[in-house]
Amino acid sequence: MAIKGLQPLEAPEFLKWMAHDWPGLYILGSFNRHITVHSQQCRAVNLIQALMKEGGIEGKSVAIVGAGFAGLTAAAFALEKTTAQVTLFDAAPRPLWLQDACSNRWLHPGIYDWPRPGSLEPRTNLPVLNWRSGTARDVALQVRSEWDRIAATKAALTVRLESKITGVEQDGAKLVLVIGGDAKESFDIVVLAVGFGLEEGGPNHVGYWNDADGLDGIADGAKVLISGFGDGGLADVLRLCLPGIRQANLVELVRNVPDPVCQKLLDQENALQKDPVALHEFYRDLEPVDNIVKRLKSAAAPLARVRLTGKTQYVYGTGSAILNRFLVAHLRHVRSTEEFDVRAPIAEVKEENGKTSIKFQDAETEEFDHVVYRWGPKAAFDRIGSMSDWKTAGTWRRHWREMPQSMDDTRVLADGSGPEGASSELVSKMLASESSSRKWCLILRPDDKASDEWEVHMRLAMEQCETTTPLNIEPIEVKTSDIFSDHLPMHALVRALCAADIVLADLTVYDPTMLMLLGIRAAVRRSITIPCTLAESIDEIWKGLPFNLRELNVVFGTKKDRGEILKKTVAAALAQSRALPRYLDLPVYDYVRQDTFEETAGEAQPILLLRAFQNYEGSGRLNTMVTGIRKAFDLGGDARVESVIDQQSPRLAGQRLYEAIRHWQRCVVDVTWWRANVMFELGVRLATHPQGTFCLLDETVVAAEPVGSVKLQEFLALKGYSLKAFGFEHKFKTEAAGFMTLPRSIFELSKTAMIILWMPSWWRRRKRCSARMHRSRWISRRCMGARTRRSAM
Amino acid sequence: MDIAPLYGSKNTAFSNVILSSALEKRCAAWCYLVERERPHKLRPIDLLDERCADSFRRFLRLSSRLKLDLARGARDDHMRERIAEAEKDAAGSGAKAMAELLEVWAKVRATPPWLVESSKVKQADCADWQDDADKLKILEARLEELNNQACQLVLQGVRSDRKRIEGTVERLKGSAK
Repeated sequence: MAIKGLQPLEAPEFLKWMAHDWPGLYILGSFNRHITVHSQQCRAVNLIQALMKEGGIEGKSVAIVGAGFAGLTAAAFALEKTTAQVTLFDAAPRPLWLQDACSNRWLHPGIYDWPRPGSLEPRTNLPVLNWRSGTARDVALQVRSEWDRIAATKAALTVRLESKITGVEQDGAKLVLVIGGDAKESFDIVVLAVGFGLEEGGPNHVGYWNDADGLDGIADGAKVLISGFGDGGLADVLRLCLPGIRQANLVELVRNVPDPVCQKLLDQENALQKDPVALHEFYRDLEPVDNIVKRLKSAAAPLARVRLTGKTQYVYGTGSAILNRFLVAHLRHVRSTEEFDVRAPIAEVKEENGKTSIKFQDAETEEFDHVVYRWGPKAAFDRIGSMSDWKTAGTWRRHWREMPQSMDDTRVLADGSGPEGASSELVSKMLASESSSRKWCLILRPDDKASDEWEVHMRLAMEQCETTTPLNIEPIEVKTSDIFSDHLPMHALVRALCAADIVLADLTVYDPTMLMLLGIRAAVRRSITIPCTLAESIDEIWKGLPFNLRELNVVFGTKKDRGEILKKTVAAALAQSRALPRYLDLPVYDYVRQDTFEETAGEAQPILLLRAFQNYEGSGRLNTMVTGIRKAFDLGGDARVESVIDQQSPRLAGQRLYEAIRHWQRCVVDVTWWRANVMFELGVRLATHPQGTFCLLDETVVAAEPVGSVKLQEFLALKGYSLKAFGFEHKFKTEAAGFMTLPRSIFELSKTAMIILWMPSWWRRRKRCSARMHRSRWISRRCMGARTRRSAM
Repeated sequence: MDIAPLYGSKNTAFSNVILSSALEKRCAAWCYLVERERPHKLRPIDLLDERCADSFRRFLRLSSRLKLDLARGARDDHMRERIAEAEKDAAGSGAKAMAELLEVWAKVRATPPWLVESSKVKQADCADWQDDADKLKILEARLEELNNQACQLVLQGVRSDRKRIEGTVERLKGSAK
C-alpha cells in the first residue's frame, strides 16, 4: 500500500528529479525533502529500479559515492538485482560512521509519516538491508551486518573507503571521478549518495547524531535556546520538555490519537501545503487531545527553560513532520504558553564564562546556559568541487525547496509495496508496543469473564518492576474469541507472540489454540513466558500440561495470593533475563536449534507421528494409522513411522523429539482429541518446519468441541478420517498420487503458517525467495534476534 | 575434528592436560584474535569504530593477562615474542595511546562530573577531573591531526565535554572539601 495521498513516481519522472545535466550522473537524496533513514533507502531502491527499467544499468560500471544508508542500499540493491560492476566510495574509514555511535536518537521507519496508515510499522519492507526500529546505533549495526554479508559474497563489488571524491568530470559518454585531488577513474554511471554529513551550527555546536550533545545533563532551571524549527529542533524541544517520554516511546503515545483527529491532520497537510503561515496557525490553535495532554503532563518536568528561535516566526512550518508539530503544539497546553515565545533570528553569538550570550536580530540580547543549533543538514553535494551549478540547477533546486516535506513522493517505493495499516485497534496497540524500547506484555486468556483479574495483577506487577526495567505497564490482552477474528489476523497475533517480551497465558480453561500458540512462542522467542491458572490447586491443570510446560513455574494460588505470586514471578524473571542474556524459560528454543542432528546415510528418514498416547492405547489405532500412512505415502512395509522417539539415545527424550519436529521432512499430526501435548508440539512444528505437516482428525470420535475449533480446523486445513474405513485410502485413492493430494492442501497451510511466522503479507508479495533455504536465517533475524539488541535510551 | 594428536599422539594423557589448560586456551584465543582480526594492525582512526575498538581492547587485555601467566613460569618464548611484537606494532601506530584516551572519554561519559552533586565533591575529584580534561585536550589534538570527516563528530563531543568539565572544575574549585 502506498503512502496515503502519495503515489510512486514512474521511472522517467523519478530519474528526472534525480538526474544531473550530465547523462549518467544522479544525485540521490541530497536535495529531497522528508529526509529519514528509511526514505533515503526507498529513494536508493527506486533509483536503481528506475535505471533497470530504463535499461541503463545492466553490465555497466557504476560508482556510488557515499557509504551512508542511501549509498549502501543503492549498492546492495544493484548488486543483488543487476549485473553492474559497483564501486563504493567514502571519505570515511567505515560505512554509516555518522549514526553508528549514537544511542540517543531513536530510529523508526515510518513514524515521521504518522498519521498515515502503516506508519506505526516498526520493520522496513525493503528488498535489501532491512532493519527494525531501535537506537541509531542498533539500526546502523543491523544494516551494516547485512551489508557485510552482501559485500562478502559479491565479486562485482569494490569498496574504496577513505577515498574522498573531490570532483566529477565529463569525458564523452563516461563520467570521471577525481579521487583525493589527483587520481581519476571513469564510470558509466555515477550516483552521488553523499547525503549531508555533519550539519552546521554555531560555536560549540554538537551534531544531531552525537550522544555528547549535553541535553541529558541539563541542570534544573537552566536556560536553553533551541535554534531551528525542523525535525531536529522540535525533537529536542520534546526531549527537553518531556523527560518522562523518550523518543522511543512516541509511537505508544500517538497511537491513542483518535482517527478523526488524524484525518484532520492529514487533510490540513494536503490543503495547506503551499501555505506555511496557515499551517502554523492551524497547529498553534489546534484543539488538544485530552488523553495526549494527560500523558504529556505526567511526563513533563520543569527541568529547563526553553526558548526557541528560527529563520522565521513559524514554529509549525512545512519543514517538520506532522508528529513533531502535533506534539510540540500540545506542549503549549502542558507548560505555560510564554515559554514557547519565539525569538527573532540569531544575529551574533558570544561565549563568556561558560555561558552563551545571544544577540537577536531585534537587538535584544539574552544569556543562555546551553544553545542547541539544529539548522538542518546542508547537502554535502555542494562540497564536491565544480558540481554545485549546472544548467537546470535553478529549476531543480527550486522544485525541492518549495516542496513541503510530507509531500515528497520520491520516498514511495516504486512497486507500491509498503506496510499495511493496522487492521484494528488491537493490532495498532501491538505494533506500537513492538515499536517502543519498553518491554511489554501480551496476555492470552480464555473468554471466561472470571479471568479478567490477570490483567490487573499483571499491571500491578509491572508497575512494581518499572523502576528497574523500562516497561510498558499496560498489558495487551487477547481473548480466545479474538483469535482468528477479523480484527486480529493470525499473522498479527503470531507476530506479537514473537515480539512480546513477556507472555502471560491463562490456562484455567484448556484451549487447544492457546497451547498451539505457546508452542510457537516456545520455538521462536527466548524470553519470559508465564502460564497461570485460577485453579487453587495446580494438580489438575498440571496433568494436562505438556512436559515442556511443566518446567515452567505456573502461577496459581488463592484469590488473595495470586497477585503477589505473579509480582514475585515477574520480578524474578525480569531480574534473571537482565542478568543472563541467554535467559531461557523453555528448553524447546534451544532444542530446535541443536546442531547435533545428523541424517543417517543411506537410511530413509522416518515419518513423525504426533499423537495422543492415552487414546491410542488398546484400540489398534496405531497399527491402522501406521499402515495407512505408509500406504498414503506410497512407502513399503518397512518404512518407519515413529511417534516414540528413540529412547536409547544418550540425549534427552525431549531434545530428540524436538530435533525430529524441526528436521524430519514429513510429520503427521493426529489432533483428534485436541490433547495439550499434541497442540503444543504442532505449534513448534509450524514454527520450525511447516512443510510436510499433515493434520488429521478422526471424525467418528466425539471429543469435546474446543473453543474456536471451527476456525482452528480451517486454519489447520484439517483432513478428516475414520478409523473404520481407514481414511487415507478411502479419501485419496481417486488421485493417482494417493496421499500426495493431501500435502497439496496442507501445503497451503504450511506456507501460510510459515509466512505468518517469518514474513508479513506485504513481505510475502515481495520476497519470492526459497523459504526453505532461508528458514534458519529468517527465524533468527526476523522474529527473535533483533529485539534483544535494544538498549534503553 | 580431534585435535588431540596435534599435541602428542603417543601421550594422549598429556595432550588432554594441555587441551584443558586455561593458559593453553588463552594462548589459542590470543592467536585466533590476532590472526583473524589483526587488532595490532589497527590505526588510531579505526578505533573510532566500536567494533574495532572492542577487538583492540580484547587484544590488550588478553595480551597483558598472557604476559602475566607466561611470566609466572610457563616457558613459551615463542608466544612471548609474538605478544611483544604485536604490542610493539600497536604502540608504534599510536593506536594504544588513542585507545587509552578514548577510554578516558568513555569514563567521563559514563560518570559525567557535571552531574555530580556539588556537596559531594572533594578536592581530589577536582584534580582528577582536571586531569581528565587535559587528556581530552590531547585527544582533541589527535583527532584534529587525523583530519578525517569521521573524526569531526567525535571531536565535537570531546570538545564539548572537555569544556563542561573545565566549567565544572572552575565552579567547584573553591567549594570542594
